[in-house]
Amino acid sequence: MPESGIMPSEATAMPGASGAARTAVIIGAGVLGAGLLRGQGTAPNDIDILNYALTLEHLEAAFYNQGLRQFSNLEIGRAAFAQPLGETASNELYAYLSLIRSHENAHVRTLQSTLRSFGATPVAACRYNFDFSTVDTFLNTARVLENTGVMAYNGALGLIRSPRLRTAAATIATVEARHAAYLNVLSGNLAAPDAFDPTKTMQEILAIAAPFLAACPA
Amino acid sequence: MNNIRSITQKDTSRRGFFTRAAVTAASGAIAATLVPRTLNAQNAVAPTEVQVLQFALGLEHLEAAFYVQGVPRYAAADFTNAAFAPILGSGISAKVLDNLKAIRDHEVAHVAALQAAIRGLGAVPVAACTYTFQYNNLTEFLMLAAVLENTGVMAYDGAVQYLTTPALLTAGASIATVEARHASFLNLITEAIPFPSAFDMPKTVAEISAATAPFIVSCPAPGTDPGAGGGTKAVANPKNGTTAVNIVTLDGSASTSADGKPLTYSWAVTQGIASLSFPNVARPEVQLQGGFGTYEFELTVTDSTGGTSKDRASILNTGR
Repeated sequence: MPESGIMPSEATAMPGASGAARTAVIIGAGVLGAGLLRGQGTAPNDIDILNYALTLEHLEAAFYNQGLRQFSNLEIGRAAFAQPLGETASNELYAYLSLIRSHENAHVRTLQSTLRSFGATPVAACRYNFDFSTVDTFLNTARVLENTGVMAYNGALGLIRSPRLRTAAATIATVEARHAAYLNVLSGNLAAPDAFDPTKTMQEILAIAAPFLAACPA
Repeated sequence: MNNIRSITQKDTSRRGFFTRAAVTAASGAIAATLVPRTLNAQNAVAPTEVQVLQFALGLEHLEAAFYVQGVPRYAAADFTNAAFAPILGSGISAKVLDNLKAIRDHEVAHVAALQAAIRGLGAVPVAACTYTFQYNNLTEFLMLAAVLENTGVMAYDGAVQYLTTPALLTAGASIATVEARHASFLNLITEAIPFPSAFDMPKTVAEISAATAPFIVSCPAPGTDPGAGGGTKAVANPKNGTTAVNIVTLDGSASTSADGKPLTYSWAVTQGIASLSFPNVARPEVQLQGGFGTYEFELTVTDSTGGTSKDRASILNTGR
C-alpha cells in the first residue's frame, strides 16, 4: 500500500495539540494504567486496546452529553455553522448530533461489557475540559474529535490479535468515519479528504486528547 | 425526538436492500458484547490474505468503473438543480461535484494500491469486469452510489478479520473508513441517515458477491494482469531519445509481468555499433561506438512462466 496515502492531516487542526505531548503521555499512562504504555517495543494486548478505545469513547460520549445538554435545538439551528444549510438539513442537525451522541454512548457500553466479559476492568471516565463557548466551537471540536477517532481506530486495528475483535473495532471505526464525514461536510470540507485515512499511534492520540482531560480517577 | 423519529421513518422507507439491511442491523447491534454474530456462518474455510485483497480489488474495480463512467455525465448545473440542493442548502450542494470527483479519485487510488499489494504477494491482480449500472438521472446515480458505498463498508468490515499482516490490516482499515465517509456523504445527499447504526454491519464474502453480481456483465479469464495490459509486456526506453555523449542508459524498468513475479531482461543491439556491458539487467549502460547516427536496441522480457514480450528503444547520437 502506498505510504503516501497515510498522511496525517488532521492533528494540526486540533486545538492545543502541540506542545503537550510529554504531559499527555504521562496523563495517558495514568488514564490507561501501566499496561498500555509500558515501554517501547512491548505491544499492547487486546485488553489494553479495548481500554484505549473506551478512553476515547468516554471522551466523545461526555463531549456530546454535555454539549447537547448545553445547547438547544434552536441555538444549534442559529449557529453560523447551520446558516449555509437548507431548511431540512438545518432541522436535522440537532437530531443527527443526538444520534451521534447515542452512538458514542453505545460504544462506551459495548466496550465496557466486552471488557467485563474478558474479566478485565473497564477504564473509568474522566472529568473533561471542553470549550462550549459557542455552538460553532462545539461543532468544530466535534469534527476534530471524530476525525481523531478514525485515526485512532485505524492506528490500533493492526495491533488487535483476536479476529472477532478486529471485526468489532472495524464496525466502530467505520461509524466514526461516517460521523467525521458528516461534520466535515457541515463545515464546508470534503467528506473524505484522502484516499487512505491517516492513522495515528496510541501515544499520538493520547497527546491530542490530553488537553481535554481535567482529572481522571486513579 | 420528533426529528429522530422522522429521520428513522424516512430511512426505513428508503429503497434498496443494503440500507434496509443496515437499519435492521442497527436495532440488533446494541448487543451485549462486541463480538459479531454474523461472521463465519457461511464461510467454512477462511480466505487467505491474497483472496481477501482480490475480493477487495473486485469491489474497487466496480466502484471505480461506476464513477469513472458516471461522474463526467453530469455538469455543475445538474447539481444546482438537483433535488437535494434546496434540502441541503447552497453550502453543501455547491460541493457535491467536488466530493464526487474526490470519491472517484479515491476508488481509482484504491484499485492501484490493491493491485500493487497483490503483486507484492506474488499473485496476479484480478482484472476489471464489464459492468452494467442502471440509472437514468443524477438522483438515481447518487442512489446507486450510496448502495455501492454502503456495500463497500460492509465488505471491508466483514473481511478485516481475515487479514493478519499488520500493515495490510492498517491499509484495509484506512480504506474501510474512507468508504464509510463516502457512504455517509451519499446517504446525506440522498436523504438517508448518514450513520444509521452505532455499529456498521459486517457481511461475508458470499453475501457481498451475491449483492454485486447484478452489476457484472462479464469478467475476463483469471490470470491476466490488468495493470500489465493483459499480460507480460516489455517497455523499452528511451523512444527516439537524443544524446550528445557516447554513454547512455537504456531503461526497461517500466516493463510489467503477467504474474507479478520478477522478469528477466535481455537487450540486443539491432542498429549501429554499440556495446552493452550488462545486457541482462533492466537498466543497462550502453556505449555508442559508431559516432553520429541512430542506434536501436531490442528488449526481450521473460516472465516466470516463460512468456515473453519485446519492445524497442532508439537513440539519435548527435555527437561525434
